[in-house]
Amino acid sequence: MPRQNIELRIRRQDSPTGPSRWEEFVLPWQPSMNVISCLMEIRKNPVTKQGQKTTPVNWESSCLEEVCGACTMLVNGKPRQSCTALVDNMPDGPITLEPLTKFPVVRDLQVDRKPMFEALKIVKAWVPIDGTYDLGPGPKLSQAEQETSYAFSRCMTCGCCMEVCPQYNTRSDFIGPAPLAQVRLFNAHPTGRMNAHERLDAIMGRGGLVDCGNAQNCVEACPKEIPLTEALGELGKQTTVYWLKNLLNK
Amino acid sequence: MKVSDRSYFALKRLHSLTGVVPIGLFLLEHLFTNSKALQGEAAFNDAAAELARIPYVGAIEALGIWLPIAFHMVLGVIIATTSQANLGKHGYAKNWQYTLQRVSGVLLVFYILFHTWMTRFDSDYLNSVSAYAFVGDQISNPGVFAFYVVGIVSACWHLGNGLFGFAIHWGLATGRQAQRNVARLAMAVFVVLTLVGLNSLLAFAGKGVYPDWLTKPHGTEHGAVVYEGGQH
Repeated sequence: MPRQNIELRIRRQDSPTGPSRWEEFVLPWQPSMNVISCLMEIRKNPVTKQGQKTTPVNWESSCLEEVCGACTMLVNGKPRQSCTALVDNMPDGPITLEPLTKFPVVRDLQVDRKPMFEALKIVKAWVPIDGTYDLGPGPKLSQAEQETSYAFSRCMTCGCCMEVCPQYNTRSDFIGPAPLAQVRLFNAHPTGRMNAHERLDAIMGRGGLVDCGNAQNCVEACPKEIPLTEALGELGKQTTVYWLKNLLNK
Repeated sequence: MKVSDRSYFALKRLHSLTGVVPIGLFLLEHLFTNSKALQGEAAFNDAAAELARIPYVGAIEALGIWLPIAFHMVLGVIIATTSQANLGKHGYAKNWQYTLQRVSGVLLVFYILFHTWMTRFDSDYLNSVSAYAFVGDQISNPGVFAFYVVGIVSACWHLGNGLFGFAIHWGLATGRQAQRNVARLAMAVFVVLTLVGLNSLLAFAGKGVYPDWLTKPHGTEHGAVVYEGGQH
């Protein structure tokens, strides 16, 4: 039986450095609601459960179909996209919403996922094709390679894996699973492979691959079921070979 | 201390390597020698004396055991401090393993210091006639016995589960199935080593389990008894 009312407990924070507080809201149930439509309802009339007038809750969202990653937040303590967090699929009781804890809060449920994007720059998660002449079409990929790479290309840098990773925190320099998986992706690309050593150099430093602790929470949390732990193993192999080659040849 | 990126990688990889070779190998040897206690006082004391007669034993001990353990310990504690355990929020099986790896490592720092002091430097030990009797006397104290149990289980866990991390760090197990298999192997190593270790501990109290079917070479059922001085 669907619930009559939806109760929400939301962790609010007015500014990046300000204190956080809990606010509770109650709104009438409607068919097919997700967390975002709940937040939109609150925005129409931002009054708490206790009848206090408050500010509309701030959150970020874009695609609303779980491919952009922007609306990622902690829903009942688990990192996930709030657009696919359907109210009717959730257990009874209040729904708890919190911002991700591993990224700086901008306001309320909105965080700045910039550290992840910076890490993508550090590991050179791209295929360099700019030049002074047309490079022509790249080499063909086998079907099997395409399928493996496709899995890694589904990453939307939502930050779920970073949120659950015990090695990704303020005490550690670890860049986290998501950027590393992109090294796996671009090192497998037939053109990207030409710069594989640059990416390996980038992840063999402080905060790189060796700071992974194999807790393997990342693969459990990934909403896109990206085989992150396989990427980490594969990069382990690539860095081992590259390291030994350098030791013996340089 | 500031280390360059390259040496950081090498140090971390050495940390992983030393855990298996030589420290893992040493643990196997240690459990092997301890298991001699199942064959009685003389058998264990002989085995211990034989170890002391290894050529270059001082160098092997210092460079092959103490140095790697000290290195693994120091870097391990540093690694553990960079972790933000989150078992409470995300209680996945592998997260338990990850957390227990760090907990067992820290326990082992204390255990190894205690154990090395008691059975290597303590004057009572050095003056004792029988190493077997000395250990038996030690573990008659329930607190010490409990600490030994914790130490043995921690060491076996840390090596067994460490093999899982080792296989992924070095890229030996890359696929999901391969990693699953390594995880199973790691747990099997943990269980077997723990049983062997705890049994040898009990042997020092004269309570080791040492049935013929398990401990006699196959085919000797009707032949001569091979062991002398055993307690069974």
